[in-house]
Amino acid sequence: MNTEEEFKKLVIARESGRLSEDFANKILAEYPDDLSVNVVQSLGNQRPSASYGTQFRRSATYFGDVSIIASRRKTCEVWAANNLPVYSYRFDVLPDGADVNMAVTHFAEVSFVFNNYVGVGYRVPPFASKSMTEVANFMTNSWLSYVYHLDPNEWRKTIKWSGLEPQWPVYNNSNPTNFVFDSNRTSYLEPDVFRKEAIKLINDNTLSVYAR
Amino acid sequence: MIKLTYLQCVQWGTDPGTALSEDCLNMNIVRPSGLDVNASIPVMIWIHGGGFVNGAGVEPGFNMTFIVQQSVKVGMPVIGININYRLGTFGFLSGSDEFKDFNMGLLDQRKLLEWVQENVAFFGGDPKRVTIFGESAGAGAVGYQLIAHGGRDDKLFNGAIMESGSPINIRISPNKTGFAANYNELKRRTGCDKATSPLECLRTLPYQKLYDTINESRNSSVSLSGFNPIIDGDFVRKPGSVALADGEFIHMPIMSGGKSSPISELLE
Repeated sequence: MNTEEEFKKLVIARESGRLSEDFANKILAEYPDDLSVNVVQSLGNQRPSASYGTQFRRSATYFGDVSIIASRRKTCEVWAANNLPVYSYRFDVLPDGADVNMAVTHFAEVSFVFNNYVGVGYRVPPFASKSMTEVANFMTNSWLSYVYHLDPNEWRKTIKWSGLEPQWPVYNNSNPTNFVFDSNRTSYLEPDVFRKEAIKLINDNTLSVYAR
Repeated sequence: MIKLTYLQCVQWGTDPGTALSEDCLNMNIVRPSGLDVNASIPVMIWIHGGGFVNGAGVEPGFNMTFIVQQSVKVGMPVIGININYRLGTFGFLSGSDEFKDFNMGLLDQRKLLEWVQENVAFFGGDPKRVTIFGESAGAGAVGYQLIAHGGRDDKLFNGAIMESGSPINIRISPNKTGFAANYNELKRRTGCDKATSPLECLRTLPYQKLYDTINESRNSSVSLSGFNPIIDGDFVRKPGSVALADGEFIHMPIMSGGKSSPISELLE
């Protein structure tokens, strides 16, 4: 995908007649061709290799939001509005053997959650370094802690944890927060406000435009 | 490492790796070795992804051995379970007024969750502490289980983790005939369009003939295998966004997450 026109065509075509030209123009405005904000941040201000097309990071940002990110945020908002605990996360570890052009993409955290240090089922074992193994252990323990206590933090009260990761807060709508799993630095918290207006545009039209 | 066994549900489009079978409603149960059957430890059930058209609980990458090993190591031992459910044409066939049953793949999941309730104690598991988790369409499936029957809590699980998926993220047909074009093409290619009851004709086709017909049509512009969940008015009553807005979901703590760039591989 190399032109804005191609991107726009796909934005419209994907929704089988529900997405108007006007709406597509709003999407184009909310999802600019801006490498400083678009996904695959590990590439910085670079575009991926030519075979991906110049609009790749832009379209990946939009379609990732449509298919996954927007509804994740909406689900968290609904749970929080009902005073129910929900723990939100963003996984940002590039597994070994992954394509840098695609960055931290679909499926990436499964091997970490499953603590698959052997790499069973993978061409390249997805993690091997000390820092990545620590993220995997931290994630598996957090998942187990949720299974035991419905709270991914609880296990840290034991002596098995001596890390520096912040407490993972319950999502709330006045201060929405994601826990970000990272292996290049200590995992951290981020406000869940990125692409706020863009994602709101999707979430305000979930049923009528996106049939979800 | 536990060697996973059993057959995968019938599917097209990816190399299945191991044998396919219509008789695929099975599960793998991995438990800590030497576990006392009276231990009553929590249970994790993985619902695999694959767009409701492929994938299997027995994929090597879903082996629960290591998560169970880690659980023992950190003093939070669990039983890990992997389930299969019918997919695509076999799991979600719909598209005409002939159909009385819908979303069989989701009902399979429900049935397997019920089986766990009835039987996991014999393995040392606690049926009152069951978390379901999944990724991609597997997370979407967890979402469907949360909004099933208008959000009725059948006490089949008390925790839910959705990794890149939710009750909302799957595009869903608003009526029972949303897959009519796919169904009509399936009838035509199998010759069942000329039968008095096309659905009955499809049901009585030899498995291999049905499988081959669909396989030979892999490049058809109308997919014969890409059937997905629909609004059926019973198990799935509303689109996810509406169910959530109406409060029709099981009210329980959840975990929900995603990746930094979740969909880029689909745009190659």
